[in-house]
Amino acid sequence: MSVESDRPLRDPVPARRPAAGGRRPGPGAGGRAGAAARRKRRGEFGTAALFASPAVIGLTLFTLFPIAMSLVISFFDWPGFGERSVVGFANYADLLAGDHFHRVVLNTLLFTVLYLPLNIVVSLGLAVWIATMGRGRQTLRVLFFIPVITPIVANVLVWRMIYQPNGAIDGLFGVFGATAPNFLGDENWAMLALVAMSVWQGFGYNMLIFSAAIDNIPATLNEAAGLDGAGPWARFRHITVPMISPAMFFASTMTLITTFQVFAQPYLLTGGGPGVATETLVLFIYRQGFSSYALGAASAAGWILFILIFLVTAVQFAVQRKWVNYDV
Amino acid sequence: MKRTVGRRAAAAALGLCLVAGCGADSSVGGSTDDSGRTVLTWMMWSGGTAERDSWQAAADAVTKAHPDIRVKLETTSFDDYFTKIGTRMAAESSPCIVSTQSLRVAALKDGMRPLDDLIAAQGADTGEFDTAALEGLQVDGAQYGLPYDSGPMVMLYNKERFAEAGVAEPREGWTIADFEVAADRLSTDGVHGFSAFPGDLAMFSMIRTRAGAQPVRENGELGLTAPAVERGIDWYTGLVHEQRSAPPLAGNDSTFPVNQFIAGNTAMVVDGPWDILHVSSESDFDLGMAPLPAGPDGTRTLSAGSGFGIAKSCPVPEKAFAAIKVLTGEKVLTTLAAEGRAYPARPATQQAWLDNAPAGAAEALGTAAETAESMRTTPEWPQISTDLVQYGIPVFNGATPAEAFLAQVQSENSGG
Repeated sequence: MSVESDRPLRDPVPARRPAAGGRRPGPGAGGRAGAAARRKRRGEFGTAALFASPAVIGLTLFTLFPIAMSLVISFFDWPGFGERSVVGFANYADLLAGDHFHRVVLNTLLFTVLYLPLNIVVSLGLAVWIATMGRGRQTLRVLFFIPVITPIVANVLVWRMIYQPNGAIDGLFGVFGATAPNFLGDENWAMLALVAMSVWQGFGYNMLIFSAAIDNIPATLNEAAGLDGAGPWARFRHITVPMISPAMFFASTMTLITTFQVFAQPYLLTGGGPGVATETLVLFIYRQGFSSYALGAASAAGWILFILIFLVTAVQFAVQRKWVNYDV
Repeated sequence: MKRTVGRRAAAAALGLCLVAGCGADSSVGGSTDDSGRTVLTWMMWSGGTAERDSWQAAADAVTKAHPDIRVKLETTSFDDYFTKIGTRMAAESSPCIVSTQSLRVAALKDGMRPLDDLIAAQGADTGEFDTAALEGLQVDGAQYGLPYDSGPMVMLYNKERFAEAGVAEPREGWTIADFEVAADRLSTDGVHGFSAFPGDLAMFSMIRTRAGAQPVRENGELGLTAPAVERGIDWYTGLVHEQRSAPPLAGNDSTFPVNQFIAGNTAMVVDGPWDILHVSSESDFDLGMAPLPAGPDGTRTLSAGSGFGIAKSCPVPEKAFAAIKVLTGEKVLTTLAAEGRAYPARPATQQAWLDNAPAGAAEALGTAAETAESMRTTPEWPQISTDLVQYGIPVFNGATPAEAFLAQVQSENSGG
């Protein structure tokens, strides 16, 4: 490192300082200068507003307005066609009292409980394994990332052929004279099948995040620990995990949010069935809105989902102080 | 200063216009273009460029017949179509000309206008249409659309499999007992005699001929728990889990029964004419066709078709109806039939489709059309058809009793 670089960097945009001598603007020439400055600021504000307006208009029309509108709709009996009427909290009460909705929430929680740890374990395990490799690291990362960028429809087609009777797994069982379960047609297996496909589809994203975080751990730390006699497990537990804990927090939070919003996999692979075995909250909301055209109930369910995600994320943020290490 | 404020206001207005869309709202139809023609928006499903070109040619035929009308075609995939049209109707921004399947017309009718007054005023001869196709677009006795295609359900079968198994091919007058024997004898070595699936039209067509009941009563009420429907579902699902003459089901893939048939894994499937040319070209065996097997009151089948209606919000329904008359007219339907796009709803134009169809199609479809009744639906049918698949699969696989399944779908969709 050169001596030059040890000097504090100059602020490329000098901060505004009071005029030399600390002269305060007075009613005379100073007042005129202040008015000019105010006009200039107003001009700058106008220019800034003009530049910001596409984003602000877009945000207002396509994000804020729909959010506000969905809250309003949730208090209405709002059919696709015909009369709309205010029903207060009736949509929320009906949902919370309904067995179907309870089951849908439980399915979403079950999917989350199964998917999140599996996703983190698989992606972290592979990231750690890849980090130990010399050649072929990038190739493996690309390979493992392919399912993430492959259209879900294509993935589902392949997995359907794997799962269905006479499919790939059944064929494998057949070699041993056995018959595989009907993974997508059996209520006891459908959710597990859905989780397995989703983990395969989604782990590549978190694996890349963990790989980047692991690559950023200074090699000297592991070398020093190795010299002190720490084995691979001790190094993983006491160096790798604390060093990548911010990345783990980010990955687990984002994955949890998307897990609560899971839709495409059950919609395409099982249609929520068999029965309601794989019907998730967002699939329920979609059907309420676009099959039954019960927009009030769909909006209310959307807000319940928002509250659920908000609460769980808040808990994650509260707990992260105990295990996420930002001191490195 | 005023000029600056004015410029800012204009810029803001322009920005809003860009986002929200300004000027004449052509999305609801009824606007006028530069040439002074009335622009009617028409939304239709389409599976690709070639299909879109066919519909565009139909739209152009309207302008040729009525130079004061231009039909602006909007297409979307079939899977998305009913979600989009429902949403646009709810937002009162529906296109003027609405395409609909007969099974969905009850669900969309509150966003559409009855056509009876226009039929009378413009002298449309509805007697030239296939009766079941025309009735399919009626709700509570009012006509909500004119049909362009007709779909009596028939039995498709794999002639080679029948020959290999030494089973007599189905022919007119064959019975449910004949069907069961054939399905059983064709089920050997991991392949099955029949493709069963809880898809509404194919399943209820077989139940109609076997048990004599439709899922919706004549008075329009949902009747899934009627004893005849329960008996029919019991029998139909038993083909999978009891007689094992149809493969077990997995997932909600509605193409499963036809794909199994095309792949040679099953020897028979119930299907409509809209699929026959596709099945014929995709399969590498001789395709046979027969009417559905006869039940206690003879051969019966159900029919569903599609057609065009007018949105309630359309400001120029007279012009929209004039356009629909052309779209469902003899000339356009003959072209669509010759291209294989539709088995047309006008019997006079069906020969153009039959010319390209496999042998036996004319006889099978002729008998089917004579014995077909339009499948009745309720406004909740889109959700019901989804529920039938979702809750039906465990019934087919023998995990849930049929009565509980029907009671659940009935109670969740009894309307009100």
